[in-house]
Amino acid sequence: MNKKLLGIFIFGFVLLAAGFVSAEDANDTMVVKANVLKSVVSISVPEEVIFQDIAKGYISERVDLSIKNTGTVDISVTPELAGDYTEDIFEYISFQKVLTDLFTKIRYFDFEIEKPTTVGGEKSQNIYMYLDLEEYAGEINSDMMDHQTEVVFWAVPL
Amino acid sequence: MEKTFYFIFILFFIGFVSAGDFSISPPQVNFEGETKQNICREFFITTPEKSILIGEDRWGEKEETRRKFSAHTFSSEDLNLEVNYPELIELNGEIKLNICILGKEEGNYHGLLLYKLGGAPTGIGIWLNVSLTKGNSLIKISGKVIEGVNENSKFNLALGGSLILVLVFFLLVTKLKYKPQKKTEFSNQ
Repeated sequence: MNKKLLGIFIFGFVLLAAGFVSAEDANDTMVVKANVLKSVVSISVPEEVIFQDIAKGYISERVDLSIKNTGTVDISVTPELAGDYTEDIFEYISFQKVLTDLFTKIRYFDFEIEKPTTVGGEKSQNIYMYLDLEEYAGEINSDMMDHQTEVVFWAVPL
Repeated sequence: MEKTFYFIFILFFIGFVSAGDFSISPPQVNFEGETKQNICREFFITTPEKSILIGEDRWGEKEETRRKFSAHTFSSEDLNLEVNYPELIELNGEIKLNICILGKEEGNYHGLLLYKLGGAPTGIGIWLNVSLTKGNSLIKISGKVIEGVNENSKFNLALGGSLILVLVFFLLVTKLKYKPQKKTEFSNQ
């Protein structure tokens, strides 16, 4: 019985020892792989902003915008009126980065968004947009219904 | 109920331009060379679906180095730069493109290559760093000639040496092969 037990013990020990790869025979390198992607500049912007009715001497309601950095680098974002806009109403579009900021007109405004914390993710930056006609210099002699233009948000790397 | 849920779900995503995949790479491109030399570099653009892209370039004044969008209001013509790239692209997916710059005056230039997504308020751009030195053709040609002569001399020396060795080898082989043999005298007795 003891011999049997000893035999089983030895057999088990041999099995256990065989389970380990001999260090001398083992391949001592570990292969490391990764998909390393190129740096990209990318942004996501709301398609449309519609202000409520407004007139000279008034400030519009606040519009909250969430601009997303969907690339892999920190970016600077600059909104710009479309080049073919010849009127001056929308030159009074103004922004704030935070609600305690003074209004900054569109032609002077820019802001930064850091890159997302993970590749393939997104990082948002909220800004506040107004149409501030309080100090509008021109005269509005007739209704301008559906007056519109395009604002392009340009994203460039920091 | 389910239909309502799906409808609201779809509506939620319609509000944003799916510009998450509208991207450009790399973030900056460097051009180093001489005046009147056409220097070309590659860049990549990706769009999520069939899109029209409108390209433009803007430049800061000469020697500008700041990465400030609003400081880049000049055209390439203002700086005597010839810049060539696709200005109108219809694209679905990723494409590799080239931008080529030829400058007439030496100096450092800083510019932007911008693409706007047609029908969307989204624009993306990359920085262009251009450094041009005045080309000196005379020295270049002379240097190449001198360099060429030196290289040819080494080659000729090696070739000549090898030929001599081969010749000596054949001479030795020939001499050994046709070495006059000693006459053996057979005595007739």
